[in-house]
Amino acid sequence: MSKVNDYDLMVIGGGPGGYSAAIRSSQLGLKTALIEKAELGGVCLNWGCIPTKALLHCAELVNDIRSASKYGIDVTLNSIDIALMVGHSRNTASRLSSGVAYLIKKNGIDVIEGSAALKEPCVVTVSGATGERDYRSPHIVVATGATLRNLPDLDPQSPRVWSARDAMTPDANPGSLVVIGAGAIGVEFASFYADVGASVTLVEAADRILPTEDPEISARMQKALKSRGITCHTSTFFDSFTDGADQGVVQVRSGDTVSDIACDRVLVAVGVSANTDGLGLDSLGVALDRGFIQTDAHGATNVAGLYAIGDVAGAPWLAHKAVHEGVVCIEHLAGVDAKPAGERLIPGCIYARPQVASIGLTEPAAREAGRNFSVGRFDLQANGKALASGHGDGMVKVILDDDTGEILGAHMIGYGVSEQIQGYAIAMGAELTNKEFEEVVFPHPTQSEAMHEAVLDAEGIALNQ
Amino acid sequence: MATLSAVVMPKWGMEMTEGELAEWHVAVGDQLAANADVVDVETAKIVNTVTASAAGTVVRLCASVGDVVPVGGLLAVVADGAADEAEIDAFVGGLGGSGAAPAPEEAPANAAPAPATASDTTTAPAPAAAPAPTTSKLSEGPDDSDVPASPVARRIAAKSGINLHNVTASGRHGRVSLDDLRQAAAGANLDLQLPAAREFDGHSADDSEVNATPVARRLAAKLGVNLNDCRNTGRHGRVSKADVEAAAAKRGTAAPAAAPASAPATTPSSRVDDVSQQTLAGARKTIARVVAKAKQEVPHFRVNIDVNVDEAMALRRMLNARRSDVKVSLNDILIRACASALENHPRLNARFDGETLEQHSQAHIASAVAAENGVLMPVLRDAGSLGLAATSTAMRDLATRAKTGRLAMDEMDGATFSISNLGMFGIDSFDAIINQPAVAILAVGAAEQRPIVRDGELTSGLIMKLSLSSDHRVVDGADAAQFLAELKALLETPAMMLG
Repeated sequence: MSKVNDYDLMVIGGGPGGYSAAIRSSQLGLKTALIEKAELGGVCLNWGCIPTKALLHCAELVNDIRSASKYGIDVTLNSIDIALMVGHSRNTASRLSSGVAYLIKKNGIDVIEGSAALKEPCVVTVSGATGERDYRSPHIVVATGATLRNLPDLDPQSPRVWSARDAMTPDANPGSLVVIGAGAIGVEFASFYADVGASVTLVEAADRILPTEDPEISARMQKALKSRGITCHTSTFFDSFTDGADQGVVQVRSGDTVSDIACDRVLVAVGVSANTDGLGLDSLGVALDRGFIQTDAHGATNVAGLYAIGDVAGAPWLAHKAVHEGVVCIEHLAGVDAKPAGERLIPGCIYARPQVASIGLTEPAAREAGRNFSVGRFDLQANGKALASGHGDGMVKVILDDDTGEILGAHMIGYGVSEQIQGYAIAMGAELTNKEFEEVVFPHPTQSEAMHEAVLDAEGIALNQ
Repeated sequence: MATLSAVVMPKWGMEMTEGELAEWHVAVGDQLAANADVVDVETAKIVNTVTASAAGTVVRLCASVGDVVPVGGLLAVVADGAADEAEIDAFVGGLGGSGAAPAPEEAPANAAPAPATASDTTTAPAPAAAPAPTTSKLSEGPDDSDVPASPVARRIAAKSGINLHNVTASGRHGRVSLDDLRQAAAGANLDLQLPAAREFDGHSADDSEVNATPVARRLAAKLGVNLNDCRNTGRHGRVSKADVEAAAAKRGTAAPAAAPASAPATTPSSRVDDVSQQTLAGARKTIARVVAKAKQEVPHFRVNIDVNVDEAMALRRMLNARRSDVKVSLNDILIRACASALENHPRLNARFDGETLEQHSQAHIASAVAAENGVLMPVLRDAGSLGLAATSTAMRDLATRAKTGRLAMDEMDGATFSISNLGMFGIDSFDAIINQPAVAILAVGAAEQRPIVRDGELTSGLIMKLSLSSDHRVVDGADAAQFLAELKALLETPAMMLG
C-alpha cells in the first residue's frame, strides 16, 4: 500500500562523505535525514585523519625543539606528556564534530541517532536509544565507511595489540612498537611514535614501503625513516604474535628466514574492510566486490533506490574521494550534470616526517599504460627556501606526456608537500600542458618553486640544478 | 550569399506567451553546431535554453538580457557563411521581428496628418517630422533610481534621457521593461538610444577560435582533429581532451542534454500586524492561475468507482520479492493500467485548448508531486511503452527531479492524462481539478480493507476508490464511465495488461 515517504533522501553514516552528501541533497531541495550511530564526522574527524594530524603536529614540535640547538637556540626538551598530546588530539576532534553538527542543523537536515538496517528497498530501520523505527525514502545512500582490518593471529583483546584507535589514545609511550603494514597509516604512526621516543619497526609484505607510491618516493621515505632510527623490513610477512609478561614477540618471515622482534605494542595497518555488518545487504541482494559495495559511476547499486559512496564503496579509502562521490551521487539523482568522481584525479597525502603527496600516474604505471613520457625531478637540496628552513630533505618528481605536454603524475616528498600538491591537481584538472605550467610565476623564495623546476627538468631546462 | 536563419522565442507549452532573456551563451561571430545552446530564457514556469535549429555563425543578437520577448520574437540571426549588414538588415526586416534595430516606422504625421483642432485650449505637441528632441516631457521627474526596472531598460532610459517615473511598468514583477520604454518613447515620439549590434568580425575555417583546453588543442593537432568537429563538454563550453579523443574515435555527437532549470524565485513577504502577506510568485503564481482558469473554464464532471486491488497488490508483492533492482508501488501499477486503458479510450487521452482537440496515440501521463513551492505535474512520456519496472524507475527519477527543479521541458508539459494520488495520506476519495489542457484527471484514494459482498457472502477486500474528473466539452459521461470500467477490470485482473 502506498505510504508517505518520511524523507526524499536518507544517508546512513555521518562521515565526510555522508554529511557532505546530506548537505548537497538538502541544498538541492530534497528533504534529507542523516543516520549516525556514533559521532558526526565519522572516523575521519573522530578517529582518523584529524586526530592523527593533531598528534603528528605535536611530534613535529618535538623534532623542532630537538633540532633547535642547530640554529643557536638553547632549549632542552625535559619531558613529553603523551596524555596532553592525546588531549589536544581529542579536543580537535570534538570541536570539529560539533562543527559538523552545526552544518547539518544549518542545512535543515534531521539527524537520526542509531544503527541502520535496510529492511527492503527504500525502507530503513533505525535502532536507537529510544527504540526502533522504520523510515521510508525513495533514495537511501550508504556511507558507512570502513575499518582497519585485524590479522587473524592477533588477539584484539590483548593490551599489547593496538587498533588504530588505541594508537591514537595511548596512556603512555610504548617503549617499542612494531607496525605491521607500511602504507600511509602505518608510516604515519611509525613517524609519530619514533618522534616521541619509541623504538619503531615497520613490517611490510611488499618489496618497498608505501607500495602504492612511486618507487623513488618509497626509497626516499625508507631512507629518511632509517636515518631517524626506524627499522623497515620489506618483503617480510607477519607470522605470529606471542604475548609475554614483559614484552610480546612478533615473528616475521622473509623468504626462508624467520626472525623474532620483541616489542611492547604491535599495531596492524594492513588495509581496511567495509563497514557492512548488520546493514542487511545480503537480504536485499546488494552486489559486493571483496566486501565493498559495487556501484555505477554515480554511486547507484543494483538495488532500487540504494546508493553507496566513500570507503564502503571501495578504494581509494580517502575522505576527499568520499566527499566527491557523495556530491556526485546526489547531484546525479537530483538531475544535476556531474562528472563522475572516478574521472576526477584524487591526490593522496601522507603526513609523516617527511610528508608525501602524490597525484596521477607513477612512473611504472605510466610505462604500463604505454605512455610516451619524460620524467622531471628536482631535489629540495637545490631549493633556497627549503634549505633556509632546514627542510632540504625531499624531492619533486613529475611525469610528463611527450605527445601532449599533459602532466600525467606528480610525486612529492618533503616538508609541507601536502599543502602544495593541489598546484598540480589544479593544473592537471584544467588540462594544462607543461607550457602553461612553465608560464605560471612561482613566488621566490618558496618550496613550491621546486614544482616549477621539476616540470622544466622534464624538458631538460631546469634553471637551478 | 549566405543563407540566414532566425533563432526565435520558442513556445514551451500552451501557457507560454513570452520569455525573459536570462543569459546569452553566444556572441556575434561564434560558430554554432545545430542544437547548440544559444540563450537561457526564463518564463513564469522554468528557465530553459533556446538552441540553434541550424549550424552556422551568429551574425546578430536581436535582444538583450532582461528583455521580455513574445513567443516567435526574433532573438538572434545565424548565417551559414559570410553575411553583410545589409543582408542581415533585410532578413530581420523581412521577418518583421523585434530586432535590436527595428525597421523604422513611418512617422505618424505622414501616415495620418492630424487635423488641426482649434477647439482645445491646449495645443497637442506636433508630431515631429524632424529628428526627435533629446529631451522631452519624459525626461522630467524626480530621481528614478528607486523605480523598479530591468537593467537594460534602466540603461537605455538613462541614455535616451527618459525618467522612469514617466513610464508605465508592465514587465515581470512590476518592472519597467524595454517594451514599456518603447511604448513610452513611441507615445512621446522619441527615439530610443538603443545599443548598436556588435560588429560581425568574420570567421575563418581554422579552429584557432574554438574554446578548448590547452591539452585538447595540442592533442587535436597531434591527432589531426579539427576542434570544430569536437563536442565541448568541458567547463565553460571548452573542448576537453575527452572530446578530442571522442572525435578521434569517430564516435557520434549526440545533441547536448537540455539545460537544467533553476529553482523558482522565493516568495517575497512582508509582515503587517499578525498577517503575513505574500505576493504569489513563481511556481505558486502559476498554479494559482492555472487551477483557477481550469475550474472556471472547464465544465468538470466526476464519475467514481471502487476497485478491488488484492490482485494488483499480490502482483506487486511478487515482483518486489523477486527483483531487488526495482521497487514497484501500487501507483506504478495504476499508471501502467491507465496507459493500457487509454489506448482503448483515446477520447480521454487528449488535450483541448477550447478550440482544438488533440487526440494522442501515446499516453503522456502527468502525476502530481508535492514539492516545496507547490504541486508539480511531471509527465511520463509514452507510458504505454514502459513495463512496470521501467515505469517505477522513471517515476522515482521524475518525482526526485521535480523536487529539485531539474525537469526538462518535455517532462513538464504535454500531458494527455493526469493522476493525483493522495492515498498515502489516508484520503478515502477526492475531487481533482483538471490539469489543462489535458481533458481528464484521475483522483486516487487509499487502498483499505472494506467489507464486500461476493456471491451473496459478506467478505473483505482491499478497496481503492477512484474518481475521474473529465472536461464535459469533449468527454461525455459514457466515455468516462467506459474508461473507468476498463481501468477497474485491468487492476482487478492485472494479467489483462499483458494482453
